[in-house]
Amino acid sequence: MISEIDRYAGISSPIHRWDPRFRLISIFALIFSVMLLYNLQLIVIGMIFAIILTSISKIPLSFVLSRMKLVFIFVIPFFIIIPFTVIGNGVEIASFGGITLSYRGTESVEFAAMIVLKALTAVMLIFPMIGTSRMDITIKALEGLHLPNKPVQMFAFTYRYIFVLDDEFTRMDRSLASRGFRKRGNLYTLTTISKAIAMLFVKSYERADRVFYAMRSKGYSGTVATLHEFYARRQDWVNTAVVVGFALLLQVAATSDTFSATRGF
Amino acid sequence: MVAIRVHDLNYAYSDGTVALEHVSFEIARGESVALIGPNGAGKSTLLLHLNGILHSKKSRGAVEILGEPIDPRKVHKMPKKIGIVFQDPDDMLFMPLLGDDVAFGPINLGVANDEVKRRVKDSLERVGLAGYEERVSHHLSGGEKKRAAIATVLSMDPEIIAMDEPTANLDPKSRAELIEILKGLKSEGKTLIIITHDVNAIPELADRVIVLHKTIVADGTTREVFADTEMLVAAGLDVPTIMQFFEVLQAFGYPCDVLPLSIEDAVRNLTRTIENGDGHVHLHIHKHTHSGVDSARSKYQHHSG
Repeated sequence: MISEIDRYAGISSPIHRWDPRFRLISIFALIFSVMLLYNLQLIVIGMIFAIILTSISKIPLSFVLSRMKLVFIFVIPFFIIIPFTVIGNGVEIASFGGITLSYRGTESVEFAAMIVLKALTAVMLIFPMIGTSRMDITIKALEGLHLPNKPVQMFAFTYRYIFVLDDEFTRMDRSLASRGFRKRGNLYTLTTISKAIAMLFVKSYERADRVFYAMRSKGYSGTVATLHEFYARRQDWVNTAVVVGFALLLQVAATSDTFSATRGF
Repeated sequence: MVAIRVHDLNYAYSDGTVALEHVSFEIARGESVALIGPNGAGKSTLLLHLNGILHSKKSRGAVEILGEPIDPRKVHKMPKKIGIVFQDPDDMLFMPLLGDDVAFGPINLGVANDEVKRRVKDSLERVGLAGYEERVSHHLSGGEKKRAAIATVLSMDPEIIAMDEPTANLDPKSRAELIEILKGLKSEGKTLIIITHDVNAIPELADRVIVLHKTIVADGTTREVFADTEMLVAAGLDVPTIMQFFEVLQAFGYPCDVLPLSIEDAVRNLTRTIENGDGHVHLHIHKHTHSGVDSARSKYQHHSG
């Protein structure tokens, strides 16, 4: 079963009580700001802020870390590759048939660390950003922000049907297992699984058709409208000022001489 | 007044397979019709023609709803007249919250916000899901989803409601609840067209039965259609179990000219027969009984052996 990012939407915290429209924009700005940084100290400061936000949101750290594990596995190769490939001329270590392995100094290690930390910070901020309200509310907030209707619809449908697809795949998996299929590391396993996935695509395509028919039968003509009501309070503005202010501060600091930029190019 | 008029409707899938051939029928306002037919007979395809979702050159002008031919470019205006409940509720419940799904139709129809809210509350109440506005549809049970799908159509307040197998895949209690909802709609005077394989439910729900097998095979009152056993069996269909049972009773000498279609019918029939027989029913076995029972039973057997 796909675990839901909004599993801890039901608890109460200052982040949970924050108007989702303001929360989305503010934390998105913060993610952007951290992404634009090229100074390790500032990125670490950004990360600490992200950790503070996540802990204020009361989402259990174990939940956050277990999700971040995957991202970590994905970004760690950068940490291994970059110091031997990017920035300047390094010290040659070894050469295999035209490919030279060379160590390129502490600056490149710092650069690799920045990429890894930025990725982790961004992913961590996703949790206070969308993990603190039910997905439907988040989608309504996106509508409330007057984002273009089509991408919001795509997002909403992806979220709605990912569970249906997951159920369908689980059923298929069980039906394979109940007919003696065992997953092994061989070609037969691969072809079977890929056929099952192909079938899932065909089924999804057909379902998409039927959903579209159902929508049209209910008068759909291009835009999805819902009834939603958000009321901003003073506290929402205060929270926004703090987070967006911090995001701006990072950018201001980045332009000062104290925090010099390290770019890989 | 005619609610649905279908005249010489033809449709073939893109691969050339003929789905509907020379389909013609009329349904009057307030009528409640069961549409039966074997799997792949074109029932769902026919339903999707009733609001113009499916259309082709050959189908142009073939379908009229409430006196007006369907314009495939104005499908989004059809729900005021006809609402369709799809077979799989997961196709119908596509919004984040159930309340949004029920509000989806009326909002599209331009209904004012306060009225939309009232309709959402009212529609959910009518299907026994009062207070489910904030529920997420993928957490509902199968029976709840079916009822929710109906609520999404009720909220548009269409004159005609077409349903694709509303009682399929439900547990007995959910099935009974659903039949009650449909009976309620019938008594409100809605025009109903119900696709179903649930022959035992038909006598309660429909006054008329249309048998479709690519083309119209039979069209008549529920009793007339169920009387034509040969045609039904040839089309791979069935009659209500209670009818089959009373036909067996006839072989045991039970006096019965008109076979009951439902349990209520059967109770009335038995009461009348017992009263006419001075408080008794006489059943007996004579030399033709067994062959009579065998022939009654073999009538409904689909396998050839």
